[in-house]
Amino acid sequence: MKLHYTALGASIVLSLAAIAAVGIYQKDSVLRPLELDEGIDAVKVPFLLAADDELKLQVKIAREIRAEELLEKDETDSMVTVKPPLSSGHEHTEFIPNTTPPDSATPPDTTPPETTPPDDATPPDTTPPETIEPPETTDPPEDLPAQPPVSPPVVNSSGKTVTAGAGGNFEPGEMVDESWFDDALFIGDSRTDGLRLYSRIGKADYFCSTGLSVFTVLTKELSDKNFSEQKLETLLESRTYGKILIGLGINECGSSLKAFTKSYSTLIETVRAKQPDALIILQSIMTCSPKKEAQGSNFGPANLYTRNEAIRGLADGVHVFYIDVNTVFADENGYLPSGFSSDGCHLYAKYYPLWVEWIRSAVYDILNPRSVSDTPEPLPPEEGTETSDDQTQTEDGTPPSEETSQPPQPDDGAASGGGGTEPVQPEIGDSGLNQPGADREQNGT
Amino acid sequence: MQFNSVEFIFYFLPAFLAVYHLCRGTAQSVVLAVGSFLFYGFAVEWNALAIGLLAGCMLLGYLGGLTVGRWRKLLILLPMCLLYGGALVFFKLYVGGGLLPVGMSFYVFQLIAYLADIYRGKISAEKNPVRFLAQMTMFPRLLSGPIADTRELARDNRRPHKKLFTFHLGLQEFILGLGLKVILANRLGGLWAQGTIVGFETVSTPYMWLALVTFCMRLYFDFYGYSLMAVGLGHMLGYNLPMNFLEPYSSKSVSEFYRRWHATLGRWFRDYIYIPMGGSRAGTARTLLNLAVVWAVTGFWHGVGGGYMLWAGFLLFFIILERLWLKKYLDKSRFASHLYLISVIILSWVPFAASGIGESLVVYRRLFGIGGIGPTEDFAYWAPIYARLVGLGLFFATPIPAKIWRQIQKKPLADVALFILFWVCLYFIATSAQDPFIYFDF
Repeated sequence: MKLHYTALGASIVLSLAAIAAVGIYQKDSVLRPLELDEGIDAVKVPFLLAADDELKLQVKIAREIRAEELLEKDETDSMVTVKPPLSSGHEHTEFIPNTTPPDSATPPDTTPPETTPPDDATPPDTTPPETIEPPETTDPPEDLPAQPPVSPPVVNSSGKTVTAGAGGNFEPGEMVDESWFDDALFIGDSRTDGLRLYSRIGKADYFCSTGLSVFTVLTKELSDKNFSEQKLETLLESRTYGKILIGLGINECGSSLKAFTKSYSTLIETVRAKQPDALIILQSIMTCSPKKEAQGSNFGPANLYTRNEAIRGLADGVHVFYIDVNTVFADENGYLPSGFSSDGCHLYAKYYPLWVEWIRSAVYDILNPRSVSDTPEPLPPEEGTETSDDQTQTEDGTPPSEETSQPPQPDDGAASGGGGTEPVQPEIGDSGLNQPGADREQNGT
Repeated sequence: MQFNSVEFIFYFLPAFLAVYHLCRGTAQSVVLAVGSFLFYGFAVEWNALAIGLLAGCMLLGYLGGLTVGRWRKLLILLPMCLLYGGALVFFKLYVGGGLLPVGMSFYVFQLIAYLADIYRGKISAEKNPVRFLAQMTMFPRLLSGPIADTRELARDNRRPHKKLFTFHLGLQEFILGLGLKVILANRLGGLWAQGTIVGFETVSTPYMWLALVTFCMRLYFDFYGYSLMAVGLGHMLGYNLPMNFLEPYSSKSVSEFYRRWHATLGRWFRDYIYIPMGGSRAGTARTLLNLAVVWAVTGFWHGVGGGYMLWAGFLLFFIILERLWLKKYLDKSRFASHLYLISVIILSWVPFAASGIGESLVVYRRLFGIGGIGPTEDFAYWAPIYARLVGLGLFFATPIPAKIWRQIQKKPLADVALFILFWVCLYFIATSAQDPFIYFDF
């Protein structure tokens, strides 16, 4: 009897052990230990999940807007009026980018006609709506301006228009000094929150939290090292910032584009109203890995590309600039390479320094606009505003060479000292963005 | 369908209980069997493979029980066990991932126990197919145990102990389990998940410890809560299901811990592998071999991959150490042995929690500050957020709450408290942001 059981036990065990041994070498744990629950993978992740009230709000807004959209669906409503960030006195008419061929997106019309090359810029209203044209890939690379760094959209292997990037390969060239961020404020969601915890830059302030979105950023009360729990507007009233960097959009990537753009625009207006002198930098929504897309197509690069185009449309190139982090982190199909993230959405913290370097270098490029043309022309001082506008908007395919705005290129030494102790465009100079930490003494009031 | 889902609590359970308690005799078994299949159908989202597999295993178990009962030959039992084992191995290894039919590890083990006990003459084969299905598939233990004692199961199946006070007790247990699961476990899980997102290479040593401790608590309260709910549901149906968790963290040795942690699984391994192989009565070397086999299978049962083998090996090392040498020292000091147990167990969960051996090693390096402790802002940020939960968790890991509970269990006060607890749980369930529907599809 005992022998029989021994035989039974041993034969089961041996077969299990043999196959288990194969399994060990085959792949890592394909099973989570507990079948009784969602498993460890599915536990609540504080980073990304919005708090309940935020979700409800988002859902509410999204539903309202979606209802509106459904009504309007058949109309040709690709034109959306976007209020410009406060400074310009009139309204801009712009494209909602998902219905616009990326290469024909037009800068806000603050640009004087003579600086816009007529052949490349398509007037918004002549563009047929609902046409996303695949052949953006054929954009000749020389049309792309050197800065701010924006990659050409490509059609990826799934036939979607996305932003392609270097797949995480980045060799920073010239960067602003960390002290440039001493009077900066970062506004962002969980991704920026991670940056705050693991790669805090300079003496910057951070107004960020898990689940923060453009829908909740004005209502949520948050705190940081240098300020207690308060709303963003209160914070902007009590402290002075020279630079404000916004990184939002992933939590609300399932919301309607129209609602998103509207709320984002409101955010910019609010920030501009409270901090008229601050340089505002809009960061693109960093792309996600295929794993994240599997959880919902909204996380896919095509949707994020559309949204990023909307964000880009909010930049005026005067006070508000757009920088596209996907030029560094996206791969050739527009995805975050899977080795960069475990959940497909948040970078491993070991890549934060790379991200920070990239921000520093992108900021440097904004402060020291370079033209792709070889012959930069000195700029008449009174046209500074328009010029800088052009600089940010050149990524849409407008060859910037004609109006290269540059004060002759600041050279390396100066640049590393904080992104330009030398005079640059007057408008920007006014906002104090060239004096690292210049506004610091006004802060903290 | 989870026990802690609104659908289960508000639709399935009340409807099922009403019908079940209106029936008697065979009709009652029919209700239980049908209800259990329905429950399973919801749980696997009507995946035909999973349902078919459950039905197939049950059919095999029914016929196998009759056959083994008729002849009681090892030659009949052995192929059946190998078939079950093989099916389990196949699905764990090659189908794997999210495709392993939910509950298979548990119901297959229950079926093997059933057949083996018939062979041993401990029970007789159930001839009534409905009764057989009812006891084998009963939904309280279908998805994740507890693996019941076959004799008690058969006894309860014939004559469910349907009394008002058992039902009341079951309700109490269900709500307590729900509380552990929803209020503690679900919310404690976040910190470890956070670490995987940030990448454990980067987190600071204090954070790593905090994350590991919260993981241990999460694992404990998750499974403990679920088991308690299962036992409570069993009581509501008139069944006495065994407790899976017997205050394991009060143990003073690793061997003891695993008699108290997931006790029904440990008992299964003891009764159907360890003892048939000779147990501890065939000399030291043989005992050690038997232990090694049991722990290899335990590791594999939990999942394929180096992490689980490392976990099982780690525990096996300490169990052997205790058996050969450490035991006499552990018996001398309660405090020291308890400290030893806690440290070993907490560290043993690392490969269990991490994905793969590589990540386990990273976690160990961070735990011991190899390569520097790292900037501790992350700890400073998260510790206050988790402080209350961790405090609550520590308290509930001691035997004190159970003692208090036994004092007040029969007083009306207890029911008032549970009533409030129930609604608090519902609040957490309702507001939980885990629902992917809201999150992704609006």
